[in-house]
Amino acid sequence: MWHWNILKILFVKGFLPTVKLVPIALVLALSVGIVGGSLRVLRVPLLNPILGLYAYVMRGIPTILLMFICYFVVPTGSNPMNAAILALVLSNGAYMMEIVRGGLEAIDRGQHEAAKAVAMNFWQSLRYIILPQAVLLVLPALVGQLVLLVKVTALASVIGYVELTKMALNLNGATMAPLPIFFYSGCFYFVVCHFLKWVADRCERVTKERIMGKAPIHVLA
Amino acid sequence: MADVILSVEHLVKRFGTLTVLDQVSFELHRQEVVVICGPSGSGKSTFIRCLNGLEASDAGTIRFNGSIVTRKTFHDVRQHIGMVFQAFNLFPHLTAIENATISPIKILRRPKAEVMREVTALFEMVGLADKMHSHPHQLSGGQQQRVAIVRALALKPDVMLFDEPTSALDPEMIKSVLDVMRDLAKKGMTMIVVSHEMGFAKEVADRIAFFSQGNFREIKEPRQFFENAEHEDTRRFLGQILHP
Repeated sequence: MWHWNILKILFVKGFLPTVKLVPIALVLALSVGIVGGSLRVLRVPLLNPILGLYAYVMRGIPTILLMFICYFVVPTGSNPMNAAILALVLSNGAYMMEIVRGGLEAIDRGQHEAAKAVAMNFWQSLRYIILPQAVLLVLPALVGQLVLLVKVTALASVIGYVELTKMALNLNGATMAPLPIFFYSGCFYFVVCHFLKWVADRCERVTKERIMGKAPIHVLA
Repeated sequence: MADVILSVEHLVKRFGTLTVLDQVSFELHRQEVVVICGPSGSGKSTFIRCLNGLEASDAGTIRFNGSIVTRKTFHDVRQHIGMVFQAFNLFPHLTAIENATISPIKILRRPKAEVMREVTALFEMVGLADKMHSHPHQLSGGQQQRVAIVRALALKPDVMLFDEPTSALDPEMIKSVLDVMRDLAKKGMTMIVVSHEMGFAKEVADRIAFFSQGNFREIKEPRQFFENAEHEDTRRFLGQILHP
């Protein structure tokens, strides 16, 4: 009654391919977010409108469409995995960029001035004063985006990348046992997302304690 | 009077079409304490913010120790000018002592042991030796402002600028901060203080200035200032803030 064979197939041929997408897409999207977000704060003349447009466009089109575009339009060598990763990075990178920018801009102007007044230049104030505070502000929102990224990997199925959702669908057609198949699939996603959330919460707590002291934290809010 | 350490000639600052500083000229002598008062929006804060380049001026010259300060040299000049803000602006992620030592150690690269010794002595001077390892949010407003004063003094500045240092404080906190500033003045620190604490001004200032509509209207020794103000505006202003 436990349908162990279904669980095994789902794990090997569905869950593992999904997990294969996540780390690469995650690291790349985060990089886009951090670099892009910092650049947006600097308002580099020509670059800023381009980044703004990028965020604007990405926020306005569905990820599933982006998957098609990356697979059919962008020359990704008809490799569904590469196309899927590209689509995930493009869309999640844009959101993360705006999150990072928001965090950096939320730091009070007085902090910049105080840093200047104690003879710090721009980069020094960013490193010693602004970034440590911004990290705390931004962490929860970034983690939320990260969990979304994991869930959106399901869309890679539409361009022929067989991952968890696609595998579940295939199995369903072959076995007609929808309940165990979709229940197990849900469990896999659930476990990964909440594992990430758990790791991030711990990270957040440790960082907070390290940079704000052990007292109650509501100063930054 | 000793020599001039900081001087300003025909300083102009505009925000859009509004002229905030209108041809301001001023000289500050070594070991002198000048208190600037004036109605809000008159430009007095903008004036002292221009002195260490937090606000870029549109015209005029600023000289520090005889040499003209430009946008490029402001960075060096700031090491010699301590600034205390109305809103304290302490770094919330650092402890009190880290707030004070981060710049001397990481930016000015002075020897750590020496900086720690000096800063510890400063914390003792302002009466916060037991709070050195607290974070700003664990301190009261008066304590935070004293930490901010220590942070500024840790640079070993030649001049200290105070931008309404007690305006954001509860009444019972004000004295602790003024006591520290009085102490500093007695030790010979050169200071410009934007403040409406007239009792403090009377006692500590060498000169008191009235600032309105973008320029100094009157700069006088305290007794002269209170008893023989020439300008009608000054007298009216004093009448408004010196309620019996």
